[in-house]
Amino acid sequence: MVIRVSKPEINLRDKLSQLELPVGPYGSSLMRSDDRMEAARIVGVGRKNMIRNGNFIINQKATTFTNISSAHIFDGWYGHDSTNGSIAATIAEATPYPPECSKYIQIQCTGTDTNLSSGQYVSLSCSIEGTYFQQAQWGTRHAKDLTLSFYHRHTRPGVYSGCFRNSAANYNYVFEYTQEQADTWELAEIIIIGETTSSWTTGTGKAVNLNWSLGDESSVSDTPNKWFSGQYYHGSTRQLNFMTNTSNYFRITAVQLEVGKGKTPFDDIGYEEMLAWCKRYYQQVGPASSSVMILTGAGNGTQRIRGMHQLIPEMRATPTVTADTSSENFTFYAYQASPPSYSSVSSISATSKNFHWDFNTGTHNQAGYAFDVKGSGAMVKATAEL
Amino acid sequence: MYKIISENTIKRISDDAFIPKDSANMDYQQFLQDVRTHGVGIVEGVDVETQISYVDARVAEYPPLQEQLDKIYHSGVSAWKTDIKAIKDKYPKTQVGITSVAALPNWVTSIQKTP
Repeated sequence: MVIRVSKPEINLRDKLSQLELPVGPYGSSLMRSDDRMEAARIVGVGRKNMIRNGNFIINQKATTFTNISSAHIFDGWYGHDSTNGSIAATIAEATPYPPECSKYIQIQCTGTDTNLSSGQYVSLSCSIEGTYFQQAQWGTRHAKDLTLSFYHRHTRPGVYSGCFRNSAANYNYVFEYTQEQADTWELAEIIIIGETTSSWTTGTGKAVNLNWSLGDESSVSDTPNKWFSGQYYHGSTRQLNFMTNTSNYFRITAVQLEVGKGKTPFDDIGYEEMLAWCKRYYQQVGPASSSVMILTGAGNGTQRIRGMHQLIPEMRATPTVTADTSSENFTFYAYQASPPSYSSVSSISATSKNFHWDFNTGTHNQAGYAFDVKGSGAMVKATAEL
Repeated sequence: MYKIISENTIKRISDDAFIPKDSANMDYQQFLQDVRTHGVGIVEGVDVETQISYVDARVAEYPPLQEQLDKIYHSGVSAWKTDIKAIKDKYPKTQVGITSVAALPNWVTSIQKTP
């Protein structure tokens, strides 16, 4: 008996050519990934940016801040200037547009200080809440490497720097980047190896403070790329002084801090989601047109009006609440008789979910009756910043 | 400078901000830091309104009769009347209560000043 065995013809040339399919380094990384976790991390799915308002699309407070000393300026961002000069900050949107985002923060030197004294510095900073930073797992053996990326267009070329700090501001990691060409958008990409030894908040408090230096005197600067102890360090010893000329502009945008080594596209979570995220730290009631009510309350006795306002979303912590009447007093609409005039705040108390206000007024004899509160300049500010 | 408003609220005088006694609030952390640095002298206690008649309030503040007579003897009736009128004006007949400042609560006085 004869048994014939046959097998299909193999085109060896074709098989070899398949092995030469063009695969980039990230494609091959994806193919080499061992599990779904690793693959998902490489693709970069889900919310990944730990920095709030890194594309500067939310601006609840003001369009411009001048003569900044130490203040929360645009949502998520804090400005500090302890020099003898002065700075102003604005959110700009103009050509040449940066890659990935249309808006950017622009800081201008509006008053010079060419020789910084001991301890003086200028910085822009943001803080990250532990609930968002916990994914980095710093302070554990599972600590992940992080990548900080942003575009910068500074008018003065040279070495710039910044600093990662813990919440107590006594454990620091300085980084550097260079503006190669004046007034040109360039990408900075900084990789920070996961920190395994210190303690990093994972709750609703501040986990990390991230500083960009615009000038720092030697007592608040150090060499980069190492962790070291010391209070309130801001940048590197090679950091140039931004405060030398009133034509100096400092601009950054698309600021992103993400898990992993290497930048991925900027994580644009959309306006409404970013606004809600920002309102976790700051909310403002008013000002509105003089004919629009911003609060409603009722007569509390004959010389006060009080009410409650719901904070949506719930804020990070119990907020500090301020009735701002610096430009104009509140006015009232009364459903019974004439409305009284506003006098002052009797008291305000708050939780993370609402605040209760009680205003002193002129005599109204309308205890228990409803009032509308209006303010075309007056407003109430609730702050739970980091 | 701060003023205690209630058991859970502090007022920052500079901008009339109402700060909650919440350790996660940065303004409360700054309040604690300021008290540690400058001492409790920068904090005023809560306002306390007591129901007291103008008669009782005036009587409590008039000097003893011996002092009043001494005042008349040394400074004359006009000077004595000036002192008495200041107390009468301070507590008018329309008064229904007095506002005074209470002592600081323990949670403030127990904040240790940094040496």
